[in-house]
Amino acid sequence: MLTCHNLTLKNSIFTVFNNVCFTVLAGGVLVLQGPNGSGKTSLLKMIPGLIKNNIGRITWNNIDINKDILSFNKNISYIGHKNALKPELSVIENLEFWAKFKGEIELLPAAIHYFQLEDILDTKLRFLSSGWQRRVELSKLLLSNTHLWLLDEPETNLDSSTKNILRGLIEAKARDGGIVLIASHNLIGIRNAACVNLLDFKNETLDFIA
Amino acid sequence: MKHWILLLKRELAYFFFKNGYALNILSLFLMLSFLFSLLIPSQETGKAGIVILLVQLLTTTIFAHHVLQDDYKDSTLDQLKISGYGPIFLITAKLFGYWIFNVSVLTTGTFVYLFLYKIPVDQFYLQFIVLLIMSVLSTNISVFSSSLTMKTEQNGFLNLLIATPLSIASLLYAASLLNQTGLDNTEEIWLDLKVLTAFCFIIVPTTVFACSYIISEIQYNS
Repeated sequence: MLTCHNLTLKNSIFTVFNNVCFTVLAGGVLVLQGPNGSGKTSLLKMIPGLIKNNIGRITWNNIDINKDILSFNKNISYIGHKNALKPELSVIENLEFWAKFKGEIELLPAAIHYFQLEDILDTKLRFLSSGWQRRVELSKLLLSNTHLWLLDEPETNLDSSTKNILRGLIEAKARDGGIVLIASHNLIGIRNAACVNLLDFKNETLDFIA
Repeated sequence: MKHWILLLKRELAYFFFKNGYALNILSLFLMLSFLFSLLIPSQETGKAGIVILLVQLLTTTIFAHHVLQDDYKDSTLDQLKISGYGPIFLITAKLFGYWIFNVSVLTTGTFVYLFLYKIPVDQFYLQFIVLLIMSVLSTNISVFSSSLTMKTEQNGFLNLLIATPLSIASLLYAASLLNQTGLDNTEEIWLDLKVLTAFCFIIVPTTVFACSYIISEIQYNS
């Protein structure tokens, strides 16, 4: 169970969001919505501690994550705006590194199969289209058995069939008891997903349970 | 430890086999050595060593931004930071990788350069040891300066501006050591080498902690 208590983000000019409170239970999918600059990415980055200067508290199974952020982060798979992949390395070299570093190498064939990457394994990443690069990045989700997925605009550059693959994957994760937080401009049509608009937290406090 | 070695291997693979970094740094090293050597008469073998020290600092610093900035730009650094390993774990693997890369590439360049200068064997050993110690210092200082400028574009020159003053004390000391002709006074040379090594014991932990702090505090790669 992931809970955010009164998270507030202020930059030097304005308050990005104020008193964000929500709880996501096991098996929950929460889609964070809002226009550009509403703080979706920042909120996602606050959870693993990539942005620290926040007011408020984040708890994981009722334990403050700051007590042991390194252990907490082992529960997380994070997909950011950009693909954390090296264009000079081939698809398989990139995936192998992340499988060995954070995940389990035994899960690599399944990840490759799920995202249908078999034909491009030896291709260097820089020769792939943005959509395929995004597929490779998303396949990293399957390399480890983490409980919490943080996805920042995961559908960027994806065609409709890959969006369906991603949707299926997120739904399967939720069925499996995982928690998925997605920052997105558009709701990508996930079954049983709860939506919250960060603009609602601009001037008032809302409590939200997904 | 297994994951530390994995990260180290990746750094080495990235530096040696991708993007032609090894070839670039070696070419720059030889080119700068040659240009500097035009200013020094070939009899002044002690000064040849000083040229190598200077060029080593220049090349190491100019290429240092690849250690952290590449990972910062494509958000790999974010993912490494949340992989459950602390910043010291990450920075030591990266520093060690860059040091191995520097030593191997620059050693090749040094052999070529010293061969051209026909340095006597006994002086060559001394120069090589000094160069090895200085490579530790220049690697650490250059990575520290590049961590400060990680968010800026085209930061090679800026790195030099930061790294040069930080290296000046050890550089001058090493230069004076290399300027001693012959190896008659072995005891004094050993003492000087020990002092130079002591610089490493101060600089290395300081830069490791400083870089770790910077990468743990650096925020937002949107």
